[in-house]
Order: sequence, then structure tokens, then C-alpha cells
Amino acid sequence: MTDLRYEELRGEQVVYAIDRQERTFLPPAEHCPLCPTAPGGEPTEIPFAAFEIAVFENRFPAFRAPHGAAEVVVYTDVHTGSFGTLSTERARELMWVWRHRYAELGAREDVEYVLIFENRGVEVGVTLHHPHGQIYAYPFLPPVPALELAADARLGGCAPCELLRRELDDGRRVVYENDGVVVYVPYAARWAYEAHVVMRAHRPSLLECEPGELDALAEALQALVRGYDALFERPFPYVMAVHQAPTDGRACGHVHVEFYPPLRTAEKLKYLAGSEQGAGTFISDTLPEESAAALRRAIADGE
Amino acid sequence: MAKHTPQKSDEKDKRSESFGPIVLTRHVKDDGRALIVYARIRGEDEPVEDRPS
Repeated sequence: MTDLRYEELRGEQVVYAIDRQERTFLPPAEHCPLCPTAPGGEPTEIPFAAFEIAVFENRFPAFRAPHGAAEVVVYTDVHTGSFGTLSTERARELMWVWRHRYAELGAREDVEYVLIFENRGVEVGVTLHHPHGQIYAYPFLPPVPALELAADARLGGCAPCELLRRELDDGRRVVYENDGVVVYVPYAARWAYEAHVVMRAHRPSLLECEPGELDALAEALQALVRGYDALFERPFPYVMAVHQAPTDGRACGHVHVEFYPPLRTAEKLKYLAGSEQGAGTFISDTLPEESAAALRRAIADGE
Repeated sequence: MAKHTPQKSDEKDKRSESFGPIVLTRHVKDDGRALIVYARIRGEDEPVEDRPS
């Protein structure tokens, strides 16, 4: 059961998905629900002995039809590894899966915004270690994309296009680039190693991307997450969010993928405390230019 | 900027479909939830190699 309540003081929706209290929590590998079903073995979510990529409706959904959707995207039938250790071909295939889910979910009348995301690491609340991501299809426009629309209006056009231009002009925070994509630590990053992976060309969604641009996006994403793992020589936790155009007909949006890693050092986490939660203002103890320099070196090491 | 809306369609899903360089097969799980399995379309001589690097 999902309940949606409007919080008047902040002017935002809050979702109550109380069934999620019962969801599977860090099971041992032999009981992983995202692994393929072994012949004669315990049934998993995917009743096949092998697969490449699988998407299914979340058993414990935050949203469900006719008020949105919640899906799980399983990147591989191999239990170990991560997005960064996928083969190049598999990472490219995943971009097409994302594109397909955006097209199909976004075409639904009850869906106004499609968020493709990945939570990696117990530090950000992962409950299953098998490499996977998720998709939430919201029946309303959430606050973050709404803020991005406001940024478009404030900057007089596509905000990601303008911010990309500024970052390329400055150059100090750019950590990776290829023909289709630029990766940088944003000028006013909230997190020590926050990074934005931005399409060079103005593409509202993955639907408008050329095949080569999808390949470039896969390459850039893998370079970044491998760099993250190399940075502190440990699996690097993060929240990854794919930002695209709302699917309610608005003329806006620019494909970019934002990473919010909670680590500020190899051992220390950034917590959202008094100022962040009470006032909504992030306090950071790392300059973006310094973390960008470290991340550039780590990406080179991770290749 | 062009108006952006994925095409709204009530066309019934096919069981197997191609989408760019991938093919998808739709299934319904025992409890009624949807499951889609995706695979890359390969040439006849192309080996299946998708293990983690």
C-alpha cells in the first residue's frame, strides 16, 4: 500500500510505502533474489538459468499503477561485481535498456517523471549486493527536476547547457571527457566527490541521443565509477541519478547523470546534519577544485 | 527547445520486440508482476561474451 501526502510547510509530496519495511535485507549470496534461478534451485525473481539484463516490477514498490511504477534493473546474472566491472558491451546495452524504460514508462498517462537511479553500498542504504539499479516513475514532478526547470528559467535557457559551457571554459573541475560526454565536479558541489556526467549536445532525454552518444555515456559512466573505486582503493558508495526531461510534455531537460557519494575521506562519511536538514544548506569541507584534481588522477589510475 | 513527450500509445505489447541493438522478451511472473529480459542482438558469428571484465 502506498499513500501520498502533501507536506504544506515545504510544499512537497511525501510517499508512504509501508510494505517496504518487509523487503529483503542483505541476504547471503545463496539466497540472492536477483541471481538467475538455478535448475532445481530456490526460485528467484528471474526464473531463468542465465540472462543479460532483466527488469521487473519491484515486489515492494514505492509507486504502482495507476499512480506510477517502481522497477528493478538487474545489470548481469553474475552476483559479484558492479556497474564499473561490467563489460563495455553490457554497459552499452544498459543505456538502451534505460532508454526503453524511459520511453515506455514515460508514455503512460499516470507518469510525469522517470528517474533511473542506482544506490551503491550499504552506506547509502543498499539492501541487495547483486549489481542492479532501480527506476521510479513518479505520478508527479518531484522537487529536484522542478528546481532544474526553475534554473532554466533563471538562466534564460537550458541550465545544463550553460553550466557545461562554464565548466569547459574554466576547466579546473573537469575530470573526464570524450566525444559525447563531459564529466565534472560542479562549481558548487554539495558532496566532496560529487560529479555530473553531462551530454555535450542538448538532448532532452536518452530518446534523442545518437547511438554513438549512448556509447559515449556508457564509457564516461564506467570511467567515473572505476575512478571512484581507485580513489580510496575501496568500493566507493554513491547514489547515481539519471536526469532527463519530465514526461508530462514540458519543453525542457538535458540528459545528465549526477553522482552523490557520501564519502569525504576513505573512512569518513558526510552526514546530513543540522544545517543540511534544518536549514537546507550544505556545509562542505572540501573544495571542488581539489576533489576534481584527485578524481582526475584516480580516473587515470582506474583505466 | 522542442516539446518533449514520449509517444503515448495503447498498442498492445508484443511478446518479443527489437529496440535498437537490443531485443526484449516480456514475461508475467506468477504473482502478476511484469518481467522483461533484454539481450543484445548479435551477428551470427559473434561470440556471447558478457562476463565482468
